[in-house]
Amino acid sequence: MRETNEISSVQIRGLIVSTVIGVGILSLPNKMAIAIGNDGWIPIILGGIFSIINVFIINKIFQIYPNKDFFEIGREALGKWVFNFFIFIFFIYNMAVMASLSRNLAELVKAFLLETTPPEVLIITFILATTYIARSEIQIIGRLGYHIYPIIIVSIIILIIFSLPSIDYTNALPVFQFDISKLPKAVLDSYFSFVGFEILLFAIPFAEDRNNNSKIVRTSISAIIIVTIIYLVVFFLTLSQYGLHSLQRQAFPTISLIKEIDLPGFFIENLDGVAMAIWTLVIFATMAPTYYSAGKILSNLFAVREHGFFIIPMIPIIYIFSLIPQNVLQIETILGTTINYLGIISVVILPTLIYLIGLFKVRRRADE
Amino acid sequence: MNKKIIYLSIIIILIPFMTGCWDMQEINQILFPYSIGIDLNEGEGERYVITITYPNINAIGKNATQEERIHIVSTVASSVFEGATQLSTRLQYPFNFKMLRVLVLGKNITNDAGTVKEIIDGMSRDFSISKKVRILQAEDSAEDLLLSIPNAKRQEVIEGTLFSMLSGKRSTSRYTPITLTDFIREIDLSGVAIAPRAATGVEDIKFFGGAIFKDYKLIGYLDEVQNRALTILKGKWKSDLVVASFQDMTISYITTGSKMKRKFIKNNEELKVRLEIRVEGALQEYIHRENPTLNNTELIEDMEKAIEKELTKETNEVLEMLQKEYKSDAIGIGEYISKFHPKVWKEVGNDWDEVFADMDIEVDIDVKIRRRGLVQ
Repeated sequence: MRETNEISSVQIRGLIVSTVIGVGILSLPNKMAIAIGNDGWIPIILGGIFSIINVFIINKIFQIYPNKDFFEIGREALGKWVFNFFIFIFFIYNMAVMASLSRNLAELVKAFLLETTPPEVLIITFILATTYIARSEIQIIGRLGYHIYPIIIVSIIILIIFSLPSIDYTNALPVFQFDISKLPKAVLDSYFSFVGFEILLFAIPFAEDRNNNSKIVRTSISAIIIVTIIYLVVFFLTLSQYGLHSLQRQAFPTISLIKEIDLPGFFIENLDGVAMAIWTLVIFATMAPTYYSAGKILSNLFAVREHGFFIIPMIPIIYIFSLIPQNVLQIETILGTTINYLGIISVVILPTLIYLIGLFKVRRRADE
Repeated sequence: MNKKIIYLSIIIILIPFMTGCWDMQEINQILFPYSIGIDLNEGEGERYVITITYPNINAIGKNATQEERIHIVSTVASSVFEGATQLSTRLQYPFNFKMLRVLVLGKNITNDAGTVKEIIDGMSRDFSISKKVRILQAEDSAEDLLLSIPNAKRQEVIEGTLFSMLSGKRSTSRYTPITLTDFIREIDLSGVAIAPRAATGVEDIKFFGGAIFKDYKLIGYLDEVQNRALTILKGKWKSDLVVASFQDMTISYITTGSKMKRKFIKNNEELKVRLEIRVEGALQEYIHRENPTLNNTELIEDMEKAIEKELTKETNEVLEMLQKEYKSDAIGIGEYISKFHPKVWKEVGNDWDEVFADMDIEVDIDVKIRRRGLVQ
């Protein structure tokens, strides 16, 4: 099956871009403006650089242990119990991400599109829709990402064209006026908008070019660069449109920016509905790989070959998780913080640990 | 067989869930308000008088069944959105504010910063209201202004009277339309925003000048010529007609565009800003009794000087008023310094209003007559 059904490099790029871009793109400009002001582009670029390092490490793991999948590698490097502990945290992390995504989606769709539909119904229907794709193998999810990817790029280009007439680029000035002590927190904030590339851990073993490691490294790094550029564009557009003070108050500056579009002659206006529809697709492409990873981890923990069995029983767990926050602020404080801590463990520490231990073992073997 | 029955029953159970959704609404069963007017209630009862106008759908189209083009309703409420809710109990359908175009602030409301801020905040917080809503200050009460729309003659569009006057490119700088986003942004940046004023005439509605809001409080007015001078000082002057006197007669000059450069000069702790304004345009009217032809360069240069003199007089007047009387930087000098000279801004930014009032601002206007028309 591996031979006939593989993920091409282009699909990997699409998969990463569509997985990484999610809720973050709507609120990132606001977060950066609050954290560091006009110079929010610096933490975005630094966040991108850290993600590139991270992606590079993930790729290196598969170079050290060729022709093995993530679970085999992890067991070999860390030992069964330590690795099981880590992937359990990884599993919880995926569930929390799912919960947060579906709750955010429900809140926004309710606000902009379906005012009277209860959010519970929105959450459950969306999780059900994702269930369908998450039961498939990674190749199919790769193809999903590959098809969502152009939609993202085209919408960003349309956004640029439509908002250019009304922006005042001098609002981005002055540059380099930030307080250096605020930088670490801002970089951390922007870094969390880049997580999602951990799907590489599951995708690389099925990649077409898995024997040509440098090609996958190049594709995945180019994907992160594309995401960085998209974030920078959105940041500059919103900053130029609103100026710093207004941007610091906009909860979802990207959507507000779309609401500002007003072409003459009543031709196109109130584009927020269309934008929400596109964004729903983008969130779908973010949720599907996350859901898939969660299922894959469970199937591995219970030593079952087919991950599809675990997808449907997870629905109620995600649903309950997503209803824990009592209001919009708590989505960020409760779910957001949980995701950030668990994310650091499972996305940063776990691959780095495997890589270092792998490197160490390879060296020792070479010495002997 | 057994399987078929199970599938069939699943489908039958699903049917009721597939028939529609929570949000099904017929478009002709929603009212789309076009403008909303807010006044302070001076009589008994709640705080505001909310007036809402919306188009009468039955009066649109060829086979219109009703004459009246606009419906105007008003109520007394404690907030804008409460007003809308109250009104929906009196009307057959609910409101949807997605198409809201114009916000009219009554005169008595604009004297209180808190109230204006409250209204603006409510509008910008709402998910459905377009942030392109134009803000207008009524010379008297907003309710009267909206009630006079149906009386306005020469009204062609259904209901959109106010909005049509506030949108589109008009060759005048006598008033400057402002949107909700711009209003908030300008107050954030410089503390001052200027909204056009509107008054009811005998048989029409007139827009003129501007109302100066400083930190959401009305502090003064600009008349039409002053508003033009302000547009020149902001560097946003597009097309307009200037009338200047030249050798005992009047010449009129059409501008096609202007460019402005701000220059910051600092010497001996004294802040100085020079505004270099380049105006381009053509001569519209020129009748000279003795020498009716316009064919030498010197004459054109003299005319340019005359127009420059006129414009400099206008702008200096407004500058003087802004600096001395209102102490409010409506022309974006502070914004410019904070963007391009952040170090200077750190020193003076905290008490900018005082610094601005004592600042030396030099206006240098350069008018060019490029064309003279079809006849010499």
